[in-house]
Amino acid sequence: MAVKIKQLEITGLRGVKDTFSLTLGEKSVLLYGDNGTGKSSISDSVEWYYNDAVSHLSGEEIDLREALRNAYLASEDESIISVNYNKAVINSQKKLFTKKSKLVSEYSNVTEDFSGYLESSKKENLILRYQFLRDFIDRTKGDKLKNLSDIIGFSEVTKIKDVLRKSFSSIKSEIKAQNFENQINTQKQTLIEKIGASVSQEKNFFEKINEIIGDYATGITVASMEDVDKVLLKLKTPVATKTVTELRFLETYQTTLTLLKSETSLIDQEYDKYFKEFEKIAADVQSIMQTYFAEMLKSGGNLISKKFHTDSSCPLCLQPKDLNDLASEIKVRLLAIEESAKKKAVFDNAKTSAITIVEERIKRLKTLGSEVLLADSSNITEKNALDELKKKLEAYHKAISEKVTSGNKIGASDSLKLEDKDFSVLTAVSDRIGKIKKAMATDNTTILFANISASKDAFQKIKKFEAERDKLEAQKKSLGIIYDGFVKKQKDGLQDFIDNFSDTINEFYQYMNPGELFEEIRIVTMGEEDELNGITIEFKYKGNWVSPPQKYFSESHLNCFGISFFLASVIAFNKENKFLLLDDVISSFDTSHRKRFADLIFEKFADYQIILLTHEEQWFQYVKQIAKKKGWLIGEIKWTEAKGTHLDETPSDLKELIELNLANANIAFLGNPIRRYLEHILKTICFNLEVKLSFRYNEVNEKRMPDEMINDLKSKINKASTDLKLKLPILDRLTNSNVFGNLLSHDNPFDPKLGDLKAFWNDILEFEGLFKCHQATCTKPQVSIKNYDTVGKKIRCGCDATKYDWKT
Amino acid sequence: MNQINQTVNIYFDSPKNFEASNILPLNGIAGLYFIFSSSIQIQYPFDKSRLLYIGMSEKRTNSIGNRLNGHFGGKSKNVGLTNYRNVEPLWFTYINFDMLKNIWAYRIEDLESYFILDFVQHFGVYPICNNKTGLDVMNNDIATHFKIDWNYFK
Repeated sequence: MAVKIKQLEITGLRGVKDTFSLTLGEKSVLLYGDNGTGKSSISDSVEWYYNDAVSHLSGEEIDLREALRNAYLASEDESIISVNYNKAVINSQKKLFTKKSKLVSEYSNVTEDFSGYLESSKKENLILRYQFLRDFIDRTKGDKLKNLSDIIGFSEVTKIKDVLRKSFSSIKSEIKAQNFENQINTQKQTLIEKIGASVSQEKNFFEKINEIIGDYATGITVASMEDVDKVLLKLKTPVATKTVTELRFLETYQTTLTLLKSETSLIDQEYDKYFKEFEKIAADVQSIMQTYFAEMLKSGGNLISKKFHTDSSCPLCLQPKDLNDLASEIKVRLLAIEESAKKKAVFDNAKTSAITIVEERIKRLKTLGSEVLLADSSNITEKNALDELKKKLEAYHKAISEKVTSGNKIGASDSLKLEDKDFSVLTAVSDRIGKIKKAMATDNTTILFANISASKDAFQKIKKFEAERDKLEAQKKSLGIIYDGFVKKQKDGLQDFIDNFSDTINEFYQYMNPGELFEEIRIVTMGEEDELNGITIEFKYKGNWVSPPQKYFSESHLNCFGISFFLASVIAFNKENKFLLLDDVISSFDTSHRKRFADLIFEKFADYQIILLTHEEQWFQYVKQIAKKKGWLIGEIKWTEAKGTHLDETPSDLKELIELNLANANIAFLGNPIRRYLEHILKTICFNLEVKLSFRYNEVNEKRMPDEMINDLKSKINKASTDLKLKLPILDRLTNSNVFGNLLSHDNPFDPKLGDLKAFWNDILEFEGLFKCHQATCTKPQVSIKNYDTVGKKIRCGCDATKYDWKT
Repeated sequence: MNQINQTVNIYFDSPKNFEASNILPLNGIAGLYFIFSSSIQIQYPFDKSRLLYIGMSEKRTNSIGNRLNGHFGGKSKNVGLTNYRNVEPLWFTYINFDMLKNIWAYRIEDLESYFILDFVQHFGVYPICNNKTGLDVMNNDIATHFKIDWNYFK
C-alpha cells in the first residue's frame, strides 16, 4: 500500500510557535497563506523530518537545528513534528530538544519498519519549492548525469564497470610484461639447436625424439614424457652427468641473458613513455596536487549551489566573498583539475606498465641467481655480470618508483639503459659452451643425452608459457566479453530509462504549453562509446533540434520544465510514498501556465495526495473551486505573534475535525482542537453576554484561557440569570473533568481515554447549545445581549425561541 | 652453429580460429602465417590440402597481426579468402621469424618464397588463394633447409 498522510502536526518549528495541525485523512489539501505567514514552515519541517536537512538552510547541523526552532520557544520546550500515515506501523514523531545544553533530535518510532521506510523515502521526490525549480537545468552536463545516475543507481553500476575495466587492463599488462611470444621463441631456438626442429606439440616432439634416438638402439619408442625420461636414464653416465650439468647451467645462463638482451628495447620503450609522462607531471606538480582538492571543491560548490551556505563568505575560511564569484571560480578550478586528473591517469598507466616489465625481468635474473653452480668459484665472472645487470634493472625500478611530487629528478633512459657491454660476459660463456661441446664431440652418447635433456626442458617451458598465456588470454577474452556486454546493457538500460523519462517530461511540459514552438523536449546522454560524460536537455524549435533551454526559454518556460522534470521524477522514482508537497511552485508563472498546472495536477496526479501551498490569491480561488469538487481540503494559513504560523480554522472546520478524529479514535490529535474549540465558543459567549474580564492588551487578551473565562462567566450568570443558574452544573462538569485540567496544563503528560474525550466533547456541545438557537430558520442564533428583550428582561436569540431571564 | 647444412623440421603450433581476438595478440610480430580451411580439402595436382594461403609480414610495423586483420576485414581484397570464410570458419597458424633468425640469414620474403616453392614441390601449385606465380627458385647452396610438416594441413 502506497503511503499517504492521515495527520500532520507541527509544534515549535520554524514559524509555528503553537501548534499547526492538519487532519488530512489521506486527502489532498490546498493551503493559502499570504507572504510571511510561514507556509514554508510546513515544507521545512517535513523536509527535516525526512532528510534531517533543509535545502535552503545552513548545511551545518547546529545552525540548522537552531534555525529550525521557533525563535519564541523557551529552552525547555520541545519542537515536534508528528506524522500519522495510512500505515500505523510507521507513525512517528521527530523531536528537537535541548539535552545537556545541546539541541538534539530523535524519532519516537525506532522500529525497523520505520527506519526502512525513512531510508526509502530519502531517495524519493516528495517536496518541490519554487527556488529549486531550475536546479536540474542549471547544473553542468556532468552534474546532470551524476544527479540522475545517483537517483537511478547508475553510479553503483559505473563503479562495477570500473572494476571490470581495471581487471581487464591488469591482465593485459600482465600479458605484455610476460612477453610470452619472446620466451617461447627463445625456447624454440633451443629446440632447433638441440634437435633440429621447431616443435610445440607433443606428438611432433616425440616423433622427433624417436627419429634422433633411432640409431642408438635404446629399445624405447617414445610416446610420453616418461618415455623421454627413460631414454635419458639409459643414456646417462657419471661423466656425462657432470659435463651436461655444467653445460645446462651455462646454456640456461646464456639463454636468460640473451633473452634479456633482446628485450632491452622493450624496457627502454616503456621507460621512455614513463619518463616522458614523469617530466610532464613534474613540470606541473601543482596541478597534480590540485587533484587532491577536487573533493573539497566539489563539496564547497554543492554547499553554495544547494544554498546550504548563503552568507557572502567562503564556506571554508569564512572570509568575505561574493558567492556567485566563488561558484564561478570553483567551476574553473574543477575544470582544470579534470584535465590534471586525465594527465595523472596517463602517467599512472605508464608507470604501472614500466614497473611490471622491469619487475618481471628482475624476477627472471633472481631465478638464474639461485642456480647452484653460480656459487662455484669457477663461475665468479658470470655471477658478477649477473649482479651488475640486476643492479642496472634495480636502478630502473628505483627511477620508476620515484614519487612524482617529491621534486626529485629521474634519469632519462640513456643514463640507465642496458648496453652491449653489460652482456659482454656472453662471449666467454659461449666459448665455454663451445669447449664443452668440443670435448663431448667424440662422445655421441653424451651429446645425445645433453640435447634430449635440454630439448625436453625447452619443450616443457614452451608448454608452460603457452598454458600461462592461454589462461591469461582466455581471462582477457572473457573479461572483454563481460565488459562489452556490461557496457552495452548499462547503456541500453540507461537509454531506455531516459527515453521513457523524456517522454513523461515532454508530456507534462506540452500539457502546460500547448501549441507552442518548443516541441519534443528530451534529455540526451553525451559521450562516446562506454564513457558517458554528461546529460543535456534539447528540444525542437521551429523544426530544428536546439540546446540548451536557457538560451531559448522564458523564465516561465524554464520553471515549467523544472516542474515537469520533478513530476516525471515522482512517477519514475517514488515507490514508497504517494504524496507530494508543492510549496509555492507557480510564483513566476503567467496566468495561463498557472491554470494549466492546476489542471495537470488534478488530471495526472488524481491518485496522489497533494499538499499544495500558495500565496497567489487569484490562483487559490481558481484552484479552490476545482479542489472542492474533487474532495480536497481547503485551508488558510495565518501568522500572529501569539501563535506564530497556524491554520485559520473556523469553528465549523474544527468541529468537523474533532468529530472525524473521535470517529477514528485518533486520540493524539484531539487535545489541541478541543481546547481551541472550547476557547472559541467561550469567547463568543463572553462577548455576547458582556462578561467582564480584567483588562489585557491585544495579543495577551487573545490568549485568555478557558478556566479564566468560565469563572467570570459563572460569576456573571450567578448575578444575572436564575434560568441559567440552573444550567451551571454543565459548566461544573466541564471544569471538573480531568480532561479539562490536562488541556490547560502543558506539564502533565496527557493520555486521556477515548471515552473521557467523547463525554467531555458532549458536555461542550451541550454547553454551546445553551447559547445557540436550534431553529433552522433563526438568522441570529447566538443568545446575546444585543437581542435583549427590555420588556420581558430576557437575553435571547434573533427569533426569540431561545431566551433566559437577565438582570442588567 | 651446428645447423649448418642441416635440415630443420618445421612443425606448426596448434591452429587458431581466424577471428579478431586471436589476431590482436600478434601485433608487433614479423614472420609467416598460414590460413587454412577447417574441413574443405583442396585438390592440388599432387595431393590434397586444407591450406589456402601463405602470407608474410616483413616488419614489426606491418605485423602478422596487421596482415591477418587486413584479410579478416576484407581490406586485402583477397576474394578467395573472403569467400572461403563465408563458406566455413577458417583457421590460421604462424611462424615467428625471430625463432629462425639464428639459422636463416636471408630476408623474410625469401623465407616466404622458400615455403611457397616447397609447397609447390609437394602439391604441384601455389596455395589456392596466393594468386601469384613466378617466384624465384632459391639457390640450393643456402645453409639451412627445412622439412616442412605439410601434413599438418591435411
